[in-house]
Amino acid sequence: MTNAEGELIALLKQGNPSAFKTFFESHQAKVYNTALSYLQNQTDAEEILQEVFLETFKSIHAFNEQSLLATWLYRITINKCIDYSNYKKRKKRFALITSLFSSKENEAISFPKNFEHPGVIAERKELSQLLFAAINQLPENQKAAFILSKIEGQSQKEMAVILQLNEKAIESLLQRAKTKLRELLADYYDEHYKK
Amino acid sequence: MNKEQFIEATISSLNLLAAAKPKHDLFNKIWQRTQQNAIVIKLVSYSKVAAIAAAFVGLFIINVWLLNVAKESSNKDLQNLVQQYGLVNDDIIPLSQ
Repeated sequence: MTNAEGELIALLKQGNPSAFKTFFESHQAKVYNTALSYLQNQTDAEEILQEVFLETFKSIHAFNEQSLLATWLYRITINKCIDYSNYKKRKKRFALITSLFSSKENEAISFPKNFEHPGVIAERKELSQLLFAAINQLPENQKAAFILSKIEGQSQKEMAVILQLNEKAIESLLQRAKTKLRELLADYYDEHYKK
Repeated sequence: MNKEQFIEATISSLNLLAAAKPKHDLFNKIWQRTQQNAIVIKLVSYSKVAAIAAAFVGLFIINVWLLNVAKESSNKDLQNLVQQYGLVNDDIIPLSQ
């Protein structure tokens, strides 16, 4: 932890409004982009952004300074995303009778692949939509590990702190996520391109 | 593109992903909600203290009432004994003697 971060934490703990503003502006992109990749919806990502910073401002006194602020924020973001995603699944399950017949874990990638990440370059749009649809089929912990590693560029050491697992478990999670993605994409290729 | 190339291209399609920005400036909204939450938390903690104080006062009142009830009933028992055996006050010797 740097001196500047230490000072910022001290100001946050004192409830200094301009420290909160500085903290928000320097970290909002991380939180928003992680939530956006996870939930694949801009409105939901903005909702998570609010929830994460509300939680952070509320519990900054409990932050023990053993990890970086960014790591702590990532942990809160991932937990909020998993909770939100589970909440939406539950809501969907109870809302529609048709959902009785849908969403088995191993089913093929669902269509339409409707999520367009605003940061994707034009020529990769179609493939990235397909990848996001495939990521959506992963179990929650594999999805979190893949997003943190491949999209947010976190190291396995940082991910271990964020997901509260050891580095070996992270490596295994990533391996399983990649294998599952390859299977899903292979199925998609067989279905759409094989003649 | 064969299957392997397709898979590799798809998995690496997010390699040059640029950071996205939220559509709205949310700081003011979050700050407002933080202040509202702080007020709610204060109200909840005050109401907890008030509830605990009320419970103590209630217990004290019940205790005093029970003591009065016990006192009254023991006075009545004593009066009954006096009437039943025709005793006068001098006949009643405290147990301590």
